[in-house]
Amino acid sequence: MNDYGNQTLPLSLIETQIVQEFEQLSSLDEKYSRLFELGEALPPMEASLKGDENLVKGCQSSLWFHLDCTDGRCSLQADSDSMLIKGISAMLVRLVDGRPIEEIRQINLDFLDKLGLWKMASRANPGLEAIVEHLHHNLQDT
Amino acid sequence: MDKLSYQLFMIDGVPAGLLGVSELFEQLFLDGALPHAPELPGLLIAGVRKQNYVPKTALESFSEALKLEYLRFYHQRLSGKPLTPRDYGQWEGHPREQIPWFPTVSRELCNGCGACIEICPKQVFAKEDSGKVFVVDPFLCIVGCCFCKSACEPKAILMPKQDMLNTYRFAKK
Repeated sequence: MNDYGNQTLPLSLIETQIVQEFEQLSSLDEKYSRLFELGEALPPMEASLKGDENLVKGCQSSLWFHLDCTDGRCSLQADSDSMLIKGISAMLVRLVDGRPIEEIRQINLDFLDKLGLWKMASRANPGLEAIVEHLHHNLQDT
Repeated sequence: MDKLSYQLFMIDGVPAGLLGVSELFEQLFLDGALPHAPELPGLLIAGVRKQNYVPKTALESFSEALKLEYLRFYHQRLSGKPLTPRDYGQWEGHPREQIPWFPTVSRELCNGCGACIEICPKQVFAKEDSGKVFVVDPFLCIVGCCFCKSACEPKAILMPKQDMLNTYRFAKK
């Protein structure tokens, strides 16, 4: 969890931390390796949660998200058959973990554009947009 | 006999290693063979068959893959850029060229939007004169990356199965 005492760190601060972590990596290959490492470090997702209801539609890789909000705080479990998507999911898990529902509605992937991983704006990528949409859509069910 | 070049091709989604293709392309280029010449497929298949086995049932698939590769070669040769083998580095201790991780673009599905060119940080793609996209340098592709696929609205880009990489991760170097 991203708890800072009893408080969750502001979203913008966690995004800045991630960006700064990637800024320390000099080459593109190092950045991608780091992204893949983040994905590999994700805790395993229970097989029973990898159902259609948790499958992110519109993402061309298989990606499952399970959002659980209890007592006003949320946690996210994720898994994917793609190392890359799993890495991005790991960043989302970091953003979501321990955060209240109303703040999760503000989460987007704009900060990814500052990581220097690709040239195209994340909002122009249908796969990444599908990920954010799925997350926000899940909030409606909580 | 001099050592022949070795190059991986994706034939119907399956990687196939072929000997002597670079030498064949060079000879065809020097002979003035144009990428869209009607006799080119026959010349390519005949040339490749001197060093490799090409099943009759896969003739068309081999022909398509070789034509596309010759188109790349032809443009690179015309541009005057060096054709000497480049160092693509390593992945998990294996030479990058030995890992068949790269995109393939369906000519039928590609709408020429160029999103893949825009998103790829490694200049893997280029556009043909027709506007369709092709893979110009497959081994520049970052192993494990598939962002081009996620950005492709007409779903024209195929990537290998991620599980395939485990073969290389856990194999002896």
